[in-house]
Amino acid sequence: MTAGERIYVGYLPMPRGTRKPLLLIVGGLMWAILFASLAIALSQRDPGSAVWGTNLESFEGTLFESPYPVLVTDRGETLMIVRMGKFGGRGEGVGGLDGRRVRAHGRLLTRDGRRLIELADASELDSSVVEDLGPGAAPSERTALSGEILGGEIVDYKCFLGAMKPGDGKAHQACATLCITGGIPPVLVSKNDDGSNHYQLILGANGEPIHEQLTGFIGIPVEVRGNAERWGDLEVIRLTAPVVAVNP
Amino acid sequence: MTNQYRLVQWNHHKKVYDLLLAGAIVVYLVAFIGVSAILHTGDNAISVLIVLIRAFGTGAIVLLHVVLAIGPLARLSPRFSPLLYNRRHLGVTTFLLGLIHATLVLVFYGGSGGENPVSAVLGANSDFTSVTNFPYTLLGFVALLILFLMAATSHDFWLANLGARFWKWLHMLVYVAYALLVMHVVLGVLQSEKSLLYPILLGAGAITLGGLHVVAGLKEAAKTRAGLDARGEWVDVCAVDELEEKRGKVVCLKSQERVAIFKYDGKLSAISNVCKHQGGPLGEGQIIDGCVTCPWHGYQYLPENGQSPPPYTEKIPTYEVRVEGDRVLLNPKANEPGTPVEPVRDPKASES
Repeated sequence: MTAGERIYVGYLPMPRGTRKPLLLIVGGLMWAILFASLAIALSQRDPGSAVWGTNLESFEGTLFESPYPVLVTDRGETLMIVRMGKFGGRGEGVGGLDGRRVRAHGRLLTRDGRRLIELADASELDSSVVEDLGPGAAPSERTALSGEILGGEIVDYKCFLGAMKPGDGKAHQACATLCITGGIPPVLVSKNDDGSNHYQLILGANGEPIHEQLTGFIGIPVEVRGNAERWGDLEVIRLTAPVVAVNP
Repeated sequence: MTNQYRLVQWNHHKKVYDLLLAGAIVVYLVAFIGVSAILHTGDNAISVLIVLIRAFGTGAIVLLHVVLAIGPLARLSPRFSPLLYNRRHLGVTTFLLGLIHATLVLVFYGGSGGENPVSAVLGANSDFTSVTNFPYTLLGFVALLILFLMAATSHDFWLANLGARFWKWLHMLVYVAYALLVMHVVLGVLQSEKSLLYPILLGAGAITLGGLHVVAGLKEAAKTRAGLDARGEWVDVCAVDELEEKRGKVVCLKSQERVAIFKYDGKLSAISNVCKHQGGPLGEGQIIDGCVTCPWHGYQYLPENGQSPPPYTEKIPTYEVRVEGDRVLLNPKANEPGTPVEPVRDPKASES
């Protein structure tokens, strides 16, 4: 601004000498805002490869209700069953079918070769969501693995397998907590030596489902102590001590 | 000026200001969403709503940095004053971006379950002693509440009815909101997003804002330190020639008071340097249409009585001045706001 020139007043015409520097300031601000946007967006981590199918599919196998509803296919693959929203698979349509051969209708969530069924809504089908087809197969063989102390993160299986991407981390904590308290299986995800994900279903000491006890330890680095077992193609860990949060 | 209240007293500059603001937000959101969609595709795509949560949340924080930088920048150079003129719209927009971020979080992370979304999001953890597990959503919630209070009371109606002192105190809470938001990010998303760029950007923002405020503060403090000792009845301020026609000179008194002396139409007058509106520095303003005009928002006062021209009703204190030889003397005792004081003739103007 030069001597004698009028100052900038918002409701009066802009002085000539104000225009050029103001254009430079506004232009600089715009570039800074664009830079911030690009830098922040470019630095987001890869959420991992996961797919939430949109098509309704049918799955046949033997249904086991406890500790979490699963469908074990004839090939021995264990598919966890959950419902729409943030709810586990227990309840209407599944109750009373323990050990029965069933046809379940729903959508697949897939990650790292692991699959989970989100049951369809009854209004989408002419048949039952889970159809009873008769007697089922025997449960999968259970073998004990060594007792372990494991580090990792507790996630809800549904979001981590593709319902949300990313379906882990602190930002997702509230959602994962809501999912797990709603009955969706809690899974400890740790890293194998090759960097791939290692999945273990978390159960209580007697193999019972646990939800509320995990609140406050979901979506953050934790240390878990328990006895690991293999149930067919599923690994579980039965906790022998409370979960501990790992602070840096 | 408070003759009557309108939701927004639109004028050409405010419209351009808001158009540029809207353009900046569109640029930010489009760039963020576009890059997210191009970089993470197919099975690795980030959920659309999570991209939106991030875009609006980070957009609010970036805009808050701009809001907080404008004040000290305008103190350091009048070139930045035009950004100050409509800053309240930036503040309200910051709140709205934050509100959209919070609403999406409630719907996406807190919804579709068996619990109230608000308690699901705010009650997921409660370990205030842990870094990894600190309830960071609570920090964001309190910050949003502060931004809401500021946005809701940003109108001049509230400034007039709450009183300038309380209004200013309330709006200084923006610094608390900023600190809470920095911690919201550090104890929240940065616990799982591992890119070093995030803490670097956040740190650079905090250092830049802190630096600007310190430099602007030091500049003001230096003026106060060099202030005139006003224990006597009259203090020597400057030579008449040092005053520019229709421009002000700010006189700092040791009492922390600041007085603006103006030379205009062959006369000299002195009024408080503090604008009744938002405390703008009247001495850095100018006489326009016979009125001292504040450089921040254009509030006007008649130099001879410190009163806003009718129909406006603002009043500020006036001071007596006199000229001895070529020196301007000021009586540091402030008159009641709006007290008329006969302007002193500029002897140089009389000669010519």
